[in-house]
Amino acid sequence: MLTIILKSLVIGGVAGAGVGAGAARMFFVPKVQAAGAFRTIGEMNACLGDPVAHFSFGFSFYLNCAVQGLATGCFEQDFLHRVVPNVAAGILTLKNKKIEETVYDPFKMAVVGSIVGAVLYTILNMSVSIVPATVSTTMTKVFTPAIANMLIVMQVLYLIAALDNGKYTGVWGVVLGAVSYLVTGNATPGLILGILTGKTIELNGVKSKISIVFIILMIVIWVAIAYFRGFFPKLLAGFQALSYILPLYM
Amino acid sequence: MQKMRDLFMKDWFFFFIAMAICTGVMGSVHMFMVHNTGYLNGLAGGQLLKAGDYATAAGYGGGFLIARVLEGPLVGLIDIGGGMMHGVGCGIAGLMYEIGLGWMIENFFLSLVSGATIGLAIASIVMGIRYLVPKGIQAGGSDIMMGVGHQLSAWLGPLFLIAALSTSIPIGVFGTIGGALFYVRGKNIVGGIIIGMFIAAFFWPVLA
Repeated sequence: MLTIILKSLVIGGVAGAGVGAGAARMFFVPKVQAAGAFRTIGEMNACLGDPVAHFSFGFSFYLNCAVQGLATGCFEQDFLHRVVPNVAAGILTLKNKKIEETVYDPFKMAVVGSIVGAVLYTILNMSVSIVPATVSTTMTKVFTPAIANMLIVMQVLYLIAALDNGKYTGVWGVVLGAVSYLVTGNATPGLILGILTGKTIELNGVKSKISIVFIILMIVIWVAIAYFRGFFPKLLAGFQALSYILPLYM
Repeated sequence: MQKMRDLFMKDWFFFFIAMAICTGVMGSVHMFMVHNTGYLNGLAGGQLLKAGDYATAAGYGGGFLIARVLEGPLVGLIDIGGGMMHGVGCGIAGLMYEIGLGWMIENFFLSLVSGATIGLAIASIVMGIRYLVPKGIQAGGSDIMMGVGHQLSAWLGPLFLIAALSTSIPIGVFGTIGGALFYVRGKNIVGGIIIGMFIAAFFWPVLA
């Protein structure tokens, strides 16, 4: 238990500091490079430095994270996305309602975010670690087949998305998806890279520098993966059957 | 205070922000793989890592990472959900397991160090693109992937419900009740199904 608490304090503190500072810098985009999300800016603007609004928004998502965490051990992305920035902003605006001096200040947000992250993350982990082992084994039993099915759905959805978004993404998606399935046993990596490549070519033209870089990168990446996974001997062996079949037709 | 504020507002301070977030995310992967708790990312990514499906995890997370890193400097805001929590916590973690560096994640200290290194690399690429790439170049595709992400979350509920129903009768019944209650209250049914299964798992665990 003590190890979990100590590790949690470190992880929550470090991540919370980064998220707090990144969130405060969001209000100065694009002058400085920030880290966060556009929807987080929208939500924080909606609360407008009102501590009650910040707290109720942050803690409602914290409850969500706790429930997910208890059942699965995964807290979802909302913990860093929504809970830490909003609770930190709520604490800062308790004392001083002027958001220009508090929520817009990356240093203050980093310090408070770090404390908030450390405390809340540790509480979550402590509560998860008292869940009996039989319960988590049962949950794993349910999740394993669900995830296996999800892998198939994921490939289908990405392939449909590639085909639906124009000729470039469609062709690149199908081809790289197939290569990826043959090489790694899953089409998703190739489909995603195919969508990115196809869309970049469509937006910038085949002859633009970035498209050429992308095309070369894709060839290098997939040849390298195929080589290191020993795919080329398998490819030869797969087609070699022709030498037995052809004589039969003669 | 003003001095610290100015320091934290420097553009290059983004390096430290990215390193801090990635360190935390990689630490959370360590917590999840060793202590079964604390994963700062979605259930799907976590289960891929747990199931040992590292190549898929690397592709699933890595695609988002590439898209977000390309998009981040162009709009001045990197998405920490797709870029760091999912891109690093699922994609890079899967990649590290895939190439045999999983032992680094299972050591607490090394997981933090590798997280900081990855954050540094991401920040370097982002800042490189921000300053070197001429204006007018567009990287596309992240909207398509967001769309698939939303569709996938719509599929997650039904898939879990079917898995719950096929596991055992009490777990299926409780999952259904939870999902129905959440649906009536206008929320995504996944949460309700998981809570229902969780309650049922206390009283009717499936061990064999």
